[in-house]
Amino acid sequence: MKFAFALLAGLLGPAAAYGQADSSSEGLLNLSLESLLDTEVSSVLKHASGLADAPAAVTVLRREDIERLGATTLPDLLRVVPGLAVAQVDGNKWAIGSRGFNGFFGSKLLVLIDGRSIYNSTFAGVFWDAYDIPFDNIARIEVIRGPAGVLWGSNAVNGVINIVTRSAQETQGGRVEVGAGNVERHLADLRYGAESTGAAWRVYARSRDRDEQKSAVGVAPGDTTRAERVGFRADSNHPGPTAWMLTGDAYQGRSGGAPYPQPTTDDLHGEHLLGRLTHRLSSDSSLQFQAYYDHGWRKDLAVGSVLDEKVLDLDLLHDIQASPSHRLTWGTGWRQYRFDSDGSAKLAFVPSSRITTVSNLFVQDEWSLLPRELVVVGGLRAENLPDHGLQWQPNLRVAWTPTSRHTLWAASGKAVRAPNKVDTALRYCGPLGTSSACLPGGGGAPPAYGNPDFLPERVVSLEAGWRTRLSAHLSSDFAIYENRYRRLETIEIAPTFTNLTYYNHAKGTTQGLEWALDWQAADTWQLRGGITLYKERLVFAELPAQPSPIISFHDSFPNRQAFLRSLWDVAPNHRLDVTLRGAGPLWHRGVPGYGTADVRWTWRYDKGLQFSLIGRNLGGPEHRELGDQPFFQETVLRRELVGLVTVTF
Amino acid sequence: MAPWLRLLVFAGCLLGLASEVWCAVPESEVRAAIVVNFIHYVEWPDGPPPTADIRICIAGHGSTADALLGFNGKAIHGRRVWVERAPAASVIGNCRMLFVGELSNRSPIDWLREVAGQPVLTVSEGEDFLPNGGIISLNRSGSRITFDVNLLAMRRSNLRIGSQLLRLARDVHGK
Repeated sequence: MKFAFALLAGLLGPAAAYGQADSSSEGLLNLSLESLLDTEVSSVLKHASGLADAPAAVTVLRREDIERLGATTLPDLLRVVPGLAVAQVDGNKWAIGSRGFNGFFGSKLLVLIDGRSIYNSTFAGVFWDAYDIPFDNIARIEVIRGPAGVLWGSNAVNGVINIVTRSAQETQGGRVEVGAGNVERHLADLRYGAESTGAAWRVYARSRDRDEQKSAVGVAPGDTTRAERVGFRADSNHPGPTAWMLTGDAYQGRSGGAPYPQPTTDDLHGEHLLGRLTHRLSSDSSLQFQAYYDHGWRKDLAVGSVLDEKVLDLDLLHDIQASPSHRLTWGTGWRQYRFDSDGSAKLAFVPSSRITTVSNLFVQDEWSLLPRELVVVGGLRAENLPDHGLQWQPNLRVAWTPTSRHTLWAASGKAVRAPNKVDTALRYCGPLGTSSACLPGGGGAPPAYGNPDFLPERVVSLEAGWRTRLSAHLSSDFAIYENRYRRLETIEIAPTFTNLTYYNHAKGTTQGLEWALDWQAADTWQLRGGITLYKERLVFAELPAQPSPIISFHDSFPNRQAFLRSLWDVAPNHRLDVTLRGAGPLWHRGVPGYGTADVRWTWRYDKGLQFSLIGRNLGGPEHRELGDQPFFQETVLRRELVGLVTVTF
Repeated sequence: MAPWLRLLVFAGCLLGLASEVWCAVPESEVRAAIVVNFIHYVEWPDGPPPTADIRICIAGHGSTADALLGFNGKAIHGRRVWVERAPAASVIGNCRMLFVGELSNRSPIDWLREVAGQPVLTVSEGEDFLPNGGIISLNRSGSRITFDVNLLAMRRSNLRIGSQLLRLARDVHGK
């Protein structure tokens, strides 16, 4: 941490000197409009990645970021968010972690699309292949690191990724995008939007087929990906106190997996429908009601096991400016998961179906102690988890904005990770389904069984940050944290010696630093960079009864990561964007560090026609990013080249 | 800024690479001054005297929004402007002007809905603002700032905009 304070001190010095620029602006005020319009201006930083005075570690990817990242999949967009680690497992599986504990079943990061949780309660993670929405739909992606349980509920242990789609008003007219490359066999996106009195709407469709990556062990990788998707969004567009939004989509696809040793290919399909009603009760208070239904189904083709999850969610949110200095938000929610599974010799759940209901009540007060200068935000959520009763998740945040250029904030909170079906109900009989205990006479590694007595994991965090605009062209966003975990998940041999199972026998501390810099280096050139440092110390809280226990997700998050992006407007209709990124090694998993480059070049021929060329993983050796997972064989990422043509009308 | 970075910028200036960036008038200040200047060209239906104090409200954040806040309490051609941040919905109606910063937790559409039908001059930046019912949108063309006006939205708000302003606009929609 000494390092962090040295940095702070080094940055504060020159920042103070910039305060003097104010005197000239008053002169500007008394110029005529004509002369102002005639004034040559230098460019400023177009967008800093953070929210200026939010009392939390927040990064926002806006449309320009999303378009210019040279990403071809949603998870790849998140590689340039400090504090996150994105590791690709194979062609259609990713592990994304915030502030530690990364894994395909990473469990401690909540992901939402328009307020709909896409965090799968069965195994506590995100099946990213089921949420491959077109980038054209996305308005912005907000990433909040640190516990955010008050507003978002359980599982927002180390952060929330909130994907916000564009309103139908913003996507009027037609758009066609087609692409192909060495990995991307084809990508086709269609969208059409129109507006009438009362409502605006859009419909879209996507078809995608991706080739396999490379095997790390010399077999056919088999991780091809194919998916088709259709969807819509409608928004009310009439003035007045009431507004509504309705959105939905449906998809089907096949996600391949490398033999392990049997093929691990999944067929999948699903659909969702979400409606939101916002009503302004009075000028100081507004009410929001949201409901959604979400269904996801997937089947392992080799062994025939099926996972099926249906979610029904109702949420009410009331926002009220109770007095000039108090802004009160409270809400309540109810969510029901209907889980069904067909077991196989390899993978099953006991019980095989279950209905669980989670309900919550939360309140948060934003108290402006000194208007615009000192804000205290306190919140508390009570969540009723099945089998574990009420879980309290408090949070306290303070933000001090001494001048419009600086915000210092600090926060402390407690969050809970609810047990999932893997922790409590799993029956995994090894990759071949022949583990001795599952199949009499079988051999190999012992099977893994869920433990019905597994308890929620807990974290208490302390974090602080400093966000500043050093000049009109340079902004910096800095955060440090320390998280203390209790009841962390361990995998141990059960007392019966017949199987492995899950316990809460570990505890630990993680510390980290995240720093992002955005610099408008010239009128036509932006540079964005970031570093993420991480350190963990996880230990057993009690002496394990049996030998060789494992703490889940230990050493899964690189100790250091960095990225540097260059966004260059070469000419009015040519853009060249380069991202350099690297991550340190995961020693205990035998995954070496890597550094690589992504490049995107775009030529806008005219208002309606654009050509893009994207290259990914261009630099450095072809690399693995996470190491093998319990259920899959990791593949090695190929260098990827894809060309895209976009027509709008 | 770390010393090495300052050195880098200084070296850049010597080479003429970064001079424009670090020396010319900051864009956000010019944008903010232009926004404040609009008040001279707009007539509100209840007709406040052209010398009265004027209240500008800021929604969201951004460099222009920050620069506008810096003008709070200052006089412009003899008229005092009061600029305040994040007004509660009840008081937005009392604002003569609502400036929507580029960074906001809500979409510009939500802010526009708050003031729909009320005599509030809505100003923002970017391409999406006018199609969604905003009145004036600032843009940049080369090294100069330009603005577009949406006459349809202006009429819906019962405001009148002087022809001189329309002449200075780059684009006038809904004529």
